[in-house]
Amino acid sequence: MLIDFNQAPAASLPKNADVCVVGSGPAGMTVALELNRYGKTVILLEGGGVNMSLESQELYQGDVIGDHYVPLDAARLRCLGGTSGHWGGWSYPLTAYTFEDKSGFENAHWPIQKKDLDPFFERALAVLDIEPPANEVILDREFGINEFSISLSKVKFGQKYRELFSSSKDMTCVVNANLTGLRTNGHSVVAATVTNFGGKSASVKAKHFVLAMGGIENSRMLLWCNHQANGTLVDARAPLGRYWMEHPGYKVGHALVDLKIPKTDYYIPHLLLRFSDAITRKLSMLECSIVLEKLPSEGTKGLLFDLACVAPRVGEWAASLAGKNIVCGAKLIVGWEAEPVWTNYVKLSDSKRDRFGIPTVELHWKKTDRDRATLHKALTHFSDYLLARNRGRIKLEDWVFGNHDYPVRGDDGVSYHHIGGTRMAASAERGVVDSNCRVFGQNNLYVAGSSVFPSGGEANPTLSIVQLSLRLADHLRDT
Amino acid sequence: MYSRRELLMRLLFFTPLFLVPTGVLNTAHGNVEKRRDKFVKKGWLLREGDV
Repeated sequence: MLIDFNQAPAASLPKNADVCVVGSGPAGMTVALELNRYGKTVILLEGGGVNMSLESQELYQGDVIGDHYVPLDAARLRCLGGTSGHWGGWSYPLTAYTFEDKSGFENAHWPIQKKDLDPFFERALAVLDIEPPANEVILDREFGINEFSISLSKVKFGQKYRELFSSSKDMTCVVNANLTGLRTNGHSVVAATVTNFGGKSASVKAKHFVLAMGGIENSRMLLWCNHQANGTLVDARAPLGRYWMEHPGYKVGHALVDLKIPKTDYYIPHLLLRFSDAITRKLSMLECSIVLEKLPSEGTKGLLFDLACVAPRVGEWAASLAGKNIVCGAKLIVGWEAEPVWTNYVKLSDSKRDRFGIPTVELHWKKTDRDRATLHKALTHFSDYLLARNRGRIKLEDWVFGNHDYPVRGDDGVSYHHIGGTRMAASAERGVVDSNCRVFGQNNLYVAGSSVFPSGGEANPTLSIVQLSLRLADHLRDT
Repeated sequence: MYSRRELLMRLLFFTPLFLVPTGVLNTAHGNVEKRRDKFVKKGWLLREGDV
């Protein structure tokens, strides 16, 4: 059943369910659909409407303190299907390395391993309607450089799964139902309060509650509801809102390479590279990737000319290969997992409130020295590989190795991946949720989405979000 | 192997408008930063023998 809370009377909402899920993006919708498949009654609450509206997007406005970032109301979508309505669709899993403990990276500790998510891989592929990505290929064993692939999902959750809600009897999706409160008896959440823009409110009861509102809102709403509950919702020791992360990614320059840059049917030809676990560990880097986006022939000629003028001998070599269509020019892009640090966090604004009287978000976000070092090490190592094997040369923008700040231009540095804030850990001293995504302090309150990731890993997060959501659904089925 | 003259002529032929506005040829040997056998020149990460 699909109900528009703006149209329906408050009394028409189901008053009880096995599970109440808040948020209809990839995380929330996956949990809801899977639980429904198990025969559970589910209420899915979405604050936005079926389609995006500016009025609803306003609720995503907030302030970013620190590094350049895009406006927060442009960084996510507040409607049925959530941010999947405008995502890029790149899907590939986190590697086993992400979950391992790494010396010097103690803040990145995961209480689960990749093998805990692997059983949900096939089902996650089905949810995203994709085939598994091709296996990684070793490009150079000694330098530990591998070529990896992604699968492209075209699933917009709001469009693809809307009909399932409309036709279901046991599953109710309510749009324009904004979460404005969670009532707890101190041990368990008793009810969720939803309100529409007209001031109409309703209370929803369930055995279990799942917050799946996105990598910023999960923290914000838990902070607010905990404040309303005088600190009785979340264990006081938990680092709620802390260790917020992104996947910084920058265009750093260009490359002329004697490497095959594969064509794809979804994007311009590009080569995706990352480093082996051993090299990442040896260089003490955060996980990162290097992307080479093929330039049109005019761009390659321009780079050849530039290189020939600066370094005639290697220019001759490159031009000779260009004559055989072997060498090509490419944009050089580096992306990495941000270092998880306490000082990057989601906070409630002291002075600004949204239309429901809830403090807006204040996001404190600043990349660290280790972030910058990762960028340097990745580029140095890649250049060393090209030089040693004579497979090309790279040209970097001045800011990369100069004492310059990161460039401020459009969404450079922004991947729209909101990670952390309600991190998973073995204890409340180190995390907000346990290894089953249950909030420390409540028996029946869970969090779904990348906000529970203790570290970002290199991969785009959505496939892993879906895997974790399926795992959560299995846990709730058995609880 | 192409000669340097042929190389430049080919580039000139294919990119006739590129030379004048950039003036690259006049500044080709500036901004050199040495680091052992590797160095950076005008943004390019190079090694001995490249120039």
